[in-house]
Amino acid sequence: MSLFRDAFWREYALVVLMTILLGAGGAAAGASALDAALGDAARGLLGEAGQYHLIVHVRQGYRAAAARELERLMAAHGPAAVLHEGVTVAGNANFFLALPPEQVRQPVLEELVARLGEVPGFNGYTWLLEPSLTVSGLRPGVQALVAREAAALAGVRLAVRHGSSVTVLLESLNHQRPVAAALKALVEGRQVAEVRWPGRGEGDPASVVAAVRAALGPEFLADVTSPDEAGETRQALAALRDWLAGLAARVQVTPGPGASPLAAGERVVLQGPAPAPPEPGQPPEPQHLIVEMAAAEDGELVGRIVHGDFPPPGAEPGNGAEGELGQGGLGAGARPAGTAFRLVDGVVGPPVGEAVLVSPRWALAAGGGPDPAAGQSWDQLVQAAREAAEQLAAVVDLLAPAAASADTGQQAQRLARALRAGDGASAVREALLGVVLTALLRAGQASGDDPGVEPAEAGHPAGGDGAGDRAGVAAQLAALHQSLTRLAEAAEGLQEAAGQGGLAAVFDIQGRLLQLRDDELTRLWQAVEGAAGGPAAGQRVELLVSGSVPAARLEQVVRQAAGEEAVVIITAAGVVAPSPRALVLELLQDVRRSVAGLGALLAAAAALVLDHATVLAALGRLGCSRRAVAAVGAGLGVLLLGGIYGLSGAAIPGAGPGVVAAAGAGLGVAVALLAERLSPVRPDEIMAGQALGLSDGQILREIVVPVGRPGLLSLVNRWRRQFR
Amino acid sequence: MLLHVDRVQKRYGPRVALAGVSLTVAPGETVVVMGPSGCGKSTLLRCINRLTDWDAGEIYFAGKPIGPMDGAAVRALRRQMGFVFQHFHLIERLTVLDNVLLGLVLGGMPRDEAEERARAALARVHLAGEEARRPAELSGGQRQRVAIARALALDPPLMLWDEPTAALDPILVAEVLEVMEDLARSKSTGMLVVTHEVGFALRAADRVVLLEEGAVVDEGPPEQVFGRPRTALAQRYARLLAS
Repeated sequence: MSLFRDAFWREYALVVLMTILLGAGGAAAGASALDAALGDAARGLLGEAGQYHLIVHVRQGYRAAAARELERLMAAHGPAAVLHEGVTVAGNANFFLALPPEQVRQPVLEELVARLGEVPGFNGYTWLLEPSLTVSGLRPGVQALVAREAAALAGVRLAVRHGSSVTVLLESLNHQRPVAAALKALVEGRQVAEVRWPGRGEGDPASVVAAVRAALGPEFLADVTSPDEAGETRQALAALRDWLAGLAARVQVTPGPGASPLAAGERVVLQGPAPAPPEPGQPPEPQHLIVEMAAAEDGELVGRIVHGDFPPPGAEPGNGAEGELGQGGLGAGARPAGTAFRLVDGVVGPPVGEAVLVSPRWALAAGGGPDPAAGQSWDQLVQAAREAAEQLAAVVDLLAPAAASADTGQQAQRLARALRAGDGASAVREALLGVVLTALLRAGQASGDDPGVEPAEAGHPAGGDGAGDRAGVAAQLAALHQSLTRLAEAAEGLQEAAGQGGLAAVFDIQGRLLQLRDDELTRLWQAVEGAAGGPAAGQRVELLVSGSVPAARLEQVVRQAAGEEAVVIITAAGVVAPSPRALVLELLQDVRRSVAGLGALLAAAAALVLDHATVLAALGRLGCSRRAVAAVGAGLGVLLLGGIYGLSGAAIPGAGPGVVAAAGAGLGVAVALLAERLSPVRPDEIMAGQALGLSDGQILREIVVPVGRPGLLSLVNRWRRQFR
Repeated sequence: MLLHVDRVQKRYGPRVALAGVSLTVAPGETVVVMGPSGCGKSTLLRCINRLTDWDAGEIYFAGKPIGPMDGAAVRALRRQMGFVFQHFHLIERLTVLDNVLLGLVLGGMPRDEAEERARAALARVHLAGEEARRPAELSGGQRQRVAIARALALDPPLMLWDEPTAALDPILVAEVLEVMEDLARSKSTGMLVVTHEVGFALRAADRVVLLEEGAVVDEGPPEQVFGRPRTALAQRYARLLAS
């Protein structure tokens, strides 16, 4: 404390304190200014709290059309409903919607978002209900339960479901904490056990539910399996997966004598379209086929082509004679594929046996139907289409032989377009009606009569007299009608099986299938399998269980009930999160704290360089050792950075008190070591002051600081300096 | 005895700067210390002023050992020893007057009294009228005279001179030596002068101490030391004096 008997050192301590306060204020002010600016931006983006209830995101190109549709939608909610177009972000125009207060009710809100699909360019929405909390990651069955329970909580005004979340609108901000706690108890105190069976038709959900209920007693809460749209989609995808699996080329390898058997996951190399067979010890050529073996349901190994393409019959070198489909009693689409070589570390290994390739895709292209998994509906459709085309050709030949091919092609294209547009059976009928009308028109032109006045009769060839032609046209048209009706019915049946929009997808897939390479087809199948929920995309059951049951025990109980082949997934029931605005504000708060942290670092560094480097340099000339000066620098650094950081409310992620102290000490030591360079002092003047009997404080005040860098210390020092 | 240096030793690492130096300065006496560069002359002055600590021996000022002194006592001791440096060590930002006032005012003397004494000191070194100028505006001889005035203004019983003319060209040396000789003749203050100016030693010194490799090799009145040189060093100075 004797140090502080000298006025200079008291003022120095005051300067350190002022630096901390001013630095903290500056850092906090800078961060707050940024916070305010970002807050303004957030308000520009999200509106004032409670001002809007919903943001509708629309693709930028549809903005005008979407605005008109949204105006129409909002008009239904009365004149007090508000529609405001906000900023465009990342290609999305954002429309802010506010409902009259009396209409902020769950059914109204859920109906409103249900109708947003009608908005052109609709690309999602975000609730802006405030104050609110959101429970996300909910299974459909749990979602309904949580929505019901949340709506019943005290302080909750309503709960709306959307996606896999439930947004809970609170009566006031004061309810946020208790409602958040209650919601957490609702979801975090529960867990969901999901069971999936690999194949369709496998598993017995009811018995699993009963077994798990019996095993867990009151800890079993509910069966929350939902026969929802997602389930139907999964089933449709599973059907598509199985269909693709039926079309993808398969490889069977018969082990050769002495060869070690292949295992699932191993890969083999086949010659494929390459001019030469694989050579052991060399890497596979690009045209070689690489096949990955997998365990089939019957336990045998079946390979899928993961690289290369099964060439068309007769196209591959050296295999022309054997390239016919179904050769050698292998069945349609099956061909011998030569010797299979094991692939070891990317290099062709020893031969493992003879391979046979089975390609239902090529069988389909050739008119065969080798694989029941490809689907009866498809076969019917193909057959019906073929008959329709024949009939149509006959009609056109009858009416206008010269223009036949071109017009038929146009009609076929029109039909294909209608089908691909996804309009299903009605589209098919519409297109066929066009064909019929055209045919009638041409018949009328050929006979010189009004095509709609007299019906034609069957049996008369084209180019004869008018009555005979009409009779022939009528017969042809009757046959055409029958064929096309069958085609329409087949399409309709397929549409029902695949769901809305599925027909167009199936036609797309059909068109692409014949162009796809085998390895692409394998990848497509794998992709669809992934989208369908993996191999286990058949029956499914979801059980809500108390969170008090250990996950391992729950899995054991469920597996016991469902069988070993079932896939069991244990997950949390959901997660409670703040509202989007709260998330944004929280993010801004993080930014503010980080900016304050950087500000604190800058302020501390500036103070050390401008004020304290002078003093540290002088201390070295006043007899302090280098180590002592470094220690003083470290202490100053800790004090300044720690003080400014703490008081400014700074918080850089990952920078706890220890890190901040270490950073301050490091900064201080660095400044101490570089002090003479940062703020040179004149040692001869310091020595003169010592020789005159001046104290260290007097030397600093009158000799050192006045010629040091301008800073807070030099400012404060002016007050008491005696020599100007 | 005003100053008594008693067998003082000082090492800088392996190098011996002072090897048991002893000497005395009586009040009003002028003692000139001479010796080759690096023989420990400046170190001796810094030890006496407590700008440097020594390893062994003791230094007494006015009968009191200065080794045990610390803090305020050391500062008080320094105020009783005017120190004139080779390179002046003036405070460049201050005027001539403020340079002289600095030690007085910060030592606690009232400003008016200090200013009167400072002006008198400046007049004594023939710098009256230069009070408002800054060191950068002065010649080397003038700057050294300001430094002398700054030391004199303290009215110290002892003045320490560390080669005060070494940094000056020969023309300016004379004006500084003249001031020093005046001071020596006045006997108003004891003077311990480290210099290579043999003529000054002969004219102004009461005693000459020859220092070589940190040890006193000869000591006595200048006539004795240079007139009947007993050491090689004394002989070199005698030849220098004769030339």
